[in-house]
Amino acid sequence: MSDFLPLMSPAWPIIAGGLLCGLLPWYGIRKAVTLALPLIAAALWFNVDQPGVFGAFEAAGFTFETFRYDGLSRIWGLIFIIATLINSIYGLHDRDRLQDSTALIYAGAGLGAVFAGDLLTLFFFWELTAISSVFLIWASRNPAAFRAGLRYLAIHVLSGVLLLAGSIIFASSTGSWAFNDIGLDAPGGVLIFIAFGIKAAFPLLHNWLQDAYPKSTVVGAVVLSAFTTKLAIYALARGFAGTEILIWIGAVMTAFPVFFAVIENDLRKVLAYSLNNQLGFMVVGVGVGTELALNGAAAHAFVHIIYKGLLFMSMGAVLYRVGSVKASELGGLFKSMPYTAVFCIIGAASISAFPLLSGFVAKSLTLAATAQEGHWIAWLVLVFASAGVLEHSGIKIPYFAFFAHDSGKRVKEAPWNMLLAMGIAAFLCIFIGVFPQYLYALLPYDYPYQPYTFDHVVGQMQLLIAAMFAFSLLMRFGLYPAERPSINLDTDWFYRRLGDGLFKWTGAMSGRLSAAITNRFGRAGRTFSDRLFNLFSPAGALSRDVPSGIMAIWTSVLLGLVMVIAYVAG
Amino acid sequence: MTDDSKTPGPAASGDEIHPAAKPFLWIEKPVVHLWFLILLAATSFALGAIDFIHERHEYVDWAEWHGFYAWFGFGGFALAVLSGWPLRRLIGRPENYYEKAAGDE
Repeated sequence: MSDFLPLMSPAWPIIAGGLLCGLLPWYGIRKAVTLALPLIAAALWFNVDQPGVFGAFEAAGFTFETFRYDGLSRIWGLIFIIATLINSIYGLHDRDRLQDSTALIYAGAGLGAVFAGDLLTLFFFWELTAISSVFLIWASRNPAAFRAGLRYLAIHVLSGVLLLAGSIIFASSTGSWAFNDIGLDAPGGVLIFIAFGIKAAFPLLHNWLQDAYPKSTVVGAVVLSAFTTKLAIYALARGFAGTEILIWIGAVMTAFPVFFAVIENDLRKVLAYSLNNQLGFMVVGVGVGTELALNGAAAHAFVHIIYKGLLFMSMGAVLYRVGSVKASELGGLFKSMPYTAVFCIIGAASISAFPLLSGFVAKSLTLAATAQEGHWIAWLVLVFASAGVLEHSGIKIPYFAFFAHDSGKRVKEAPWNMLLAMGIAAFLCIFIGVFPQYLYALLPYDYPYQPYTFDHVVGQMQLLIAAMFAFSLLMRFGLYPAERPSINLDTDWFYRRLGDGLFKWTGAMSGRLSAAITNRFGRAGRTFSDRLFNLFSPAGALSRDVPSGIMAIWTSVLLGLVMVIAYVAG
Repeated sequence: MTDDSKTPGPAASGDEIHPAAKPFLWIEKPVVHLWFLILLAATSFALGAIDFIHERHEYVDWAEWHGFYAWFGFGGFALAVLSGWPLRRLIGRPENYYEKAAGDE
């Protein structure tokens, strides 16, 4: 421990720097700040040499623990810091001040939540991740992104509200705000579980991810892919380790996106489905809950942030240069962007868990733990999902973007900063795969595990090569569904189409009701119906998009204010 | 304040091929695809055959069946891909599906 550095959460300098960036009009200085902040955060992380709770302060009778450094939080903290640095490098070409600022605040909020030792601190940072990250979606500055951002904000604010409600119930029953093992049987436990589940994109609660991430900016999608969902996995590991239902939830999460991804045309949306699939492995690990399984979830989260970021970066580079990431419009790009293609292939091979790459040494921990504990159905689903990962992320992404039929598009290679960021991520994928002991040394539990056994390597290669053979065969005989400009229905249909339809029907019915009231009761009725119309009609106060968004933001802000007032009054 | 990421588009003209890609243009030839398919088939069988001379030890008994992972990889992949045909019929919609309803997408 250095005497020159305080024992302070690495979140604070990043958040403060993010706020500063919002005020700095000078591009060069701002970018220097975005690079320096993760380095400062890393110094603070390295400054702690033993587990403990630091940065605690008292306010209105509550103790806020802002820097709990232990086996679980330190690995998540480190990977969040690494991701922040890589993202900053990737975004060096971008001159969007708002995006620079909110990307840092968002990363800092993620770090703050990971290091939170109590539920109130967790709630504060939980909400901050939601509010700051929505600007990365809105930064696309188009109507589709704006609407998707509103939907994203609404569901994440709901997550925050549930977390707060569950925390209050939990604390009032147990007398403790400490964020440790909670469990479903604890008072408020179910509410907290659902709050975490929304952010972890549990099945049926998952579609905010596929809706919002692909509509974000080139840089925004990379940043978004790193923090929110992995924070949720951390929270589940902290509060619900060994909760058996997570095994089944996770198993479903690994399997269902495989089918959606096959027919998805937007390659960033394919990656969003792939994110669901990968989160499923981690959720299973948390559900199994043994030391090996929790090590698996932590290791998987660590390597996943790197290779999923790498894949989002490569598709971001394609979007930046070509203007599209629709598989039906791409192909043959390796001729123009060979380095991006190579980095993408490394990311694809890593996520597919080829030996000597990071996915191989991480994913196997969860699979081994699941089999060890006798959850053979879940294990079987995970093995199927491993073949599915190869399909959507291992083959589909690089193949349809860089190879397949030549689209004839000839563009420049990605900017140097994007290549550098992708190069660092690719290097880490290989380094961790070749030297897994460095990753294992960071894991929460000291549990011996040897990934490179003859049986494991042969079994994994059998799975992957046979799956690649299936792909080649299906392509040769025209059995692989062609990439088409289309979209696919998912659970968002319920609120984007069914909900919309119900809303319009309600509007029409209220119009008829209003007319009937006017005819029947004359002036008094007319006044009443006019008021209803002003409030609820499609042009009314509760129906406009902008006010709805502002309402969502205000809900979040007010939640924070209510808390502050409650503390002071208490 | 501008957003470079919002202004993508072709940044080079003509049929320029990156110098680093030129030595690899052969991978587009159909005969290479055929040989790649044959190579994958041969490797799959070779890897599967290892199970006949080396007994793998697994936590789940039937994962020790000969060629279990090879069959599972091939079958699982084929299932996922082939299910795309009926699934697309069921849930595939035009790109402007939501746009028609709410000016979205």
